[in-house]
Order: sequence, then C-alpha cells, then structure tokens
Amino acid sequence: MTAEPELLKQARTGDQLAFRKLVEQHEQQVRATVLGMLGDCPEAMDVAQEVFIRFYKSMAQFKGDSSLGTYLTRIAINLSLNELKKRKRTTWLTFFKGNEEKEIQIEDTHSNPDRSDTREMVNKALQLLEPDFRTVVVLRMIDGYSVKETAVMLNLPEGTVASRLARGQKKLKQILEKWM
Amino acid sequence: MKKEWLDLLIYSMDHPLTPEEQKILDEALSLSKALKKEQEQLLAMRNLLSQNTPPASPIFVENVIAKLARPQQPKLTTIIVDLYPQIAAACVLFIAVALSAIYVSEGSLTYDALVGVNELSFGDANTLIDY
Repeated sequence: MTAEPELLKQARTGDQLAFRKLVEQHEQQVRATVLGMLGDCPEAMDVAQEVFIRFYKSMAQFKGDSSLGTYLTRIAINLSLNELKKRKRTTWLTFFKGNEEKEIQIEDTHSNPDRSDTREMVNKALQLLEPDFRTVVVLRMIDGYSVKETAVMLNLPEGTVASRLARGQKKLKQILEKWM
Repeated sequence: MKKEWLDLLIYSMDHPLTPEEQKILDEALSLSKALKKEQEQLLAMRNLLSQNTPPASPIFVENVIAKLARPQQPKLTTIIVDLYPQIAAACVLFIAVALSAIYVSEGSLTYDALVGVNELSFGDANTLIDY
C-alpha cells in the first residue's frame, strides 16, 4: 500500500488513481462525520462528496500542517454547519408556507439491534442535540479526536469544548438510555 | 449520588485524572451503585458512538470521481465574485466623474449642489406652485 504523502504527491500531479485511493482511505471517516452532523438524509451524501471535491480543488493549498484526515474533517464540519444554516432558512420558509416540520422520531430497535439500525438510531439521536454540542460530540466521540484537538479544530478554548461535551453527553445519554 | 462525583466521572472520560482525583473517583464508584450504573451507561454510549462509522462504499467513491470528471458550470455568485474588482473600480470611477462634473458646474460639493437645488430659493418654490 502506497503511503499517504506519496499518494498526495501523485494526486497533486493530476494522478486520478492516487486521488481515488485517498478518497477510499478517508471516505468512511468523512461520511461518519457528516452523517453524525446531518443525520441520514440525501443532503448528507452530497455534502460528504463535496468535501472531497473541495479538497481536490484546494490540494495545492494543503501544506500538511495537520494530517489529511484532520483537514478533511475540518472541511466536513464546515460544510455540514453551512448545510444546517441552509436547513434553518428553509425551515423558516416552510413555516411561512404553513408546512409543519417533520418531527424526528427514534424507533425502538432494541428487539432487533441490527448494526445499520443502531447507526441510524445514533445519528437520529445526535440530531436532537444543538449544533454546537453535536459538533463536539461528533469530533470527540465518533471521530475520536482529543478535547485539545477538537478545540484547535473548532478554534475554541478547551474549557468550552469540555463543557459542551459534558452537556452534550448528558443529553445524548438521556435520549439513548432506553436503547442501552 | 453527589453531583461532584458525576462531574468527576464525566471529566474522567476525556481527561487524565491526577492520582488524588482517581482515588476519589474509585472510592465514589465503590460507594455509589448509581454512579457505577452511570459509568456503565456512559461507556456503553461512547462505545455505540465510536462504532458509528458506516461501511465502506465503492459507490460513494465512484460518485466523487464522476463529479470531478463532469465539467462544472460556474455559478452566478462565482461570476459576480470574480467580476467584483472590475465592477467596484467602474463604480468608483463613475462616482468620481459625476462628482467632478458637479464641482465644475456648481463650484462646490455641498448637499444642495449634489441634490441640484443650490440655486433655488423659497420664492422659486412658490413660483413653481403657482405655475
């Protein structure tokens, strides 16, 4: 298996195969981040794909100060937050049109704890957290970044990240309690 | 269950504890069944979240590559942003020419001169109304 820096070097010269390998290496992590942030919806796939397209276009600017995984996660978080803002605006519009927003419902999958069902349930539960709390929970608990790394990534003080994490964790536990 | 114990338990999930803090937490866990249950639930939840990675998707990779191969139409916003320096320069030039023209013809750049009423008086207003 070719090392990541070598693949990056090749991808920068326009090697499509090298870029494809980079996408293959990171797609699961990027999708996990976006699904955690947006839930399992059609836009989530578009946003996850857009992460790699943005990366492809800005590959020359990627200096390697952070790992590629961290760089992609940062893009994924920013694009997801933009999507959430867009969603909020759309919600306002539908409010004025008189449509009711669909309520997020978590089905009881306890009797059939299938892996994909569990994933869906976790993603739905995450949608019930405020975006600020959701972001730190996704970065820390799904992507596995430390509190310090999360703070650097979000440009926030470590204390803020720790407190959002504690509050997000408490809320998430209340939501998921029945299924654990 | 004391609130400090719960806070310490939650803190311990993301930060290393000092030996003293660890001792307090261990004692609290041995004393409180509720705290022990809380710890089990938190660990179960974290385990659930850490395993939340979706399976690899070859279709996803194909879609990314296909999107890159597709020629992209520039968005209107991109065109506007790209043209912004030229548009801004043209506007500044237009304003400068207009101000110069007013200054040359009126001899000043006061508010009245800009609006074009510097040579009007209240009498003119009456005349205009009568007319």
